[in-house]
Amino acid sequence: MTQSFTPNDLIKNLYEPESGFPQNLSAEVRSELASFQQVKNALDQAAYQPADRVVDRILAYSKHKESIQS
Amino acid sequence: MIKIQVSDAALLSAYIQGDDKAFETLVKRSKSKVYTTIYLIVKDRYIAEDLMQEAYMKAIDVMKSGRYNEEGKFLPWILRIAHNMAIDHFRKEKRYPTIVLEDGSKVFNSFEFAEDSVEDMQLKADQVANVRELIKKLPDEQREVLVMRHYEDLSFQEIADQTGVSINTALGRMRYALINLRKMLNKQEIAYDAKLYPK
Repeated sequence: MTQSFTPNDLIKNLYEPESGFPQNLSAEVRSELASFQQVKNALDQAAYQPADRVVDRILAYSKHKESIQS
Repeated sequence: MIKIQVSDAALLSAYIQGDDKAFETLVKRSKSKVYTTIYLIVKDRYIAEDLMQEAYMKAIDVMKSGRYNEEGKFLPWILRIAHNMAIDHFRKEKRYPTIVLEDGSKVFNSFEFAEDSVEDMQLKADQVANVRELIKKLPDEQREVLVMRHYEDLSFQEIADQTGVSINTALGRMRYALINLRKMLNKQEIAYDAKLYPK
């Protein structure tokens, strides 16, 4: 059976999965998707974390605003 | 035990009504994406921290003054504020970002590695630092789409609209970004194996 989707459709499905996407993918396409998923996982792990002091300052500002309003 | 996660919309509503803890949870959920979004644009840790603080303070002001009108979608909203602030920073400075390479200690200081051994921590930090450096090496157009889709959670249609290209172009740039990252990651893996197991 011919798989009627483009390489861009694969990327779209990786980030925005839709129910209509073909399920019976060839081994080659499945392997391509799996390798993109690995890169995606690596990107997740590479997210930066701000220093705690920045979060503390934000929360302190929020409390300060709260106390002004109440 | 089933753990039910409170939605962002419910937390927002609680915060607007005075529940400060609800805001703390919202910040905890969103801080990494907000910071990463800003950092990958300005590429300076201290500027990114200042801008992140300003972004949340702006959000607090809007919510506390009763002007919030985003139907409970906190993450896309705060990411939009953060993105715009990072872009405005450039316009004010009228210059392109300089690449600031972090030294090992900074990477370590900014990460939480619960329950990992020292060796695991070292390995994880190295891998994370590697991926970050590889993202910086991507062509600008690919990096832009990657940051907007992966870290800012914008849809490909929204990216196309914001960058003035077709959705197919946005998808193509994302595809090449992932292919390039995959290539660079594979190359590093091969080099690493060759070093560990010389012939």
